[in-house]
Amino acid sequence: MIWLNPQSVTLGTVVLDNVDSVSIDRTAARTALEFTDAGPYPGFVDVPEQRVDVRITRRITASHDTGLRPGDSVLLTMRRAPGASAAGVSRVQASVVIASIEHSMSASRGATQRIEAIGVSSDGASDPVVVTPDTGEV
Amino acid sequence: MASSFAGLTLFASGPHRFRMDRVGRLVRGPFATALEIPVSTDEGVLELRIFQQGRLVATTDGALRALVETIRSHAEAGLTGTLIDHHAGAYPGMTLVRFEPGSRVDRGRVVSMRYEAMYLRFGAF
Repeated sequence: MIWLNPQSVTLGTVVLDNVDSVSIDRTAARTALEFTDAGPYPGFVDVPEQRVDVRITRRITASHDTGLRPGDSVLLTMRRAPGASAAGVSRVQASVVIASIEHSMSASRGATQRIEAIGVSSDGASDPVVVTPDTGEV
Repeated sequence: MASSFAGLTLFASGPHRFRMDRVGRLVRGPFATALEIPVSTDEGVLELRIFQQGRLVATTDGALRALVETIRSHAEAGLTGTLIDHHAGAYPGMTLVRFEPGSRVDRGRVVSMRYEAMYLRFGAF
């Protein structure tokens, strides 16, 4: 999942402005794969351990320290809207632990901040990312 | 085709493979002798051992536990019968002597667990 120009992005109590994108990547941390005596292909594949990686990219227009540090456990919240209207607006929430906060500078884009975080489940079974309909104004 | 053991399909919930252990004769030695001529002794035919590695698959932890308990009861009782592999290879007189669960239960789309079982034909020598 990737959201371009999402609105009202927060990490804990920190409000993030000028966010270009928020992406959520889901990958297998470990796969369970079994072959059989019948032929060359796996007869069983499952993904019992998964990673949910969150990346936030935003433009920096002024010197600022968010106070976020790697290891911080925070709640990511944002709103996403498919268009300019209020239709189909939803709220995204994810419990995450900050993994890195990095900055880069380029002549074309200026200063950019990239925050990477890892999703954490409250009980190990529920999805760290929760998307719910949001009927509030955009 | 599905494998079976003593007419039962204890491991049919998931994929598994069979491997025959080394076969031949049990040779001890060589022993040193007073004449400094090494001597080996032939103790007879090696017992036939067949290993089975695979994964038990269930929809819930309880269902997986039930599969394990059924297999455990047969292993502890020393169930003996004919082992038939996936290609109709038949090994009569085999006893299920060991069932070793894997180090973890995997909970993804399904609940599953690796294992290794060993069958032994007692008294081959």
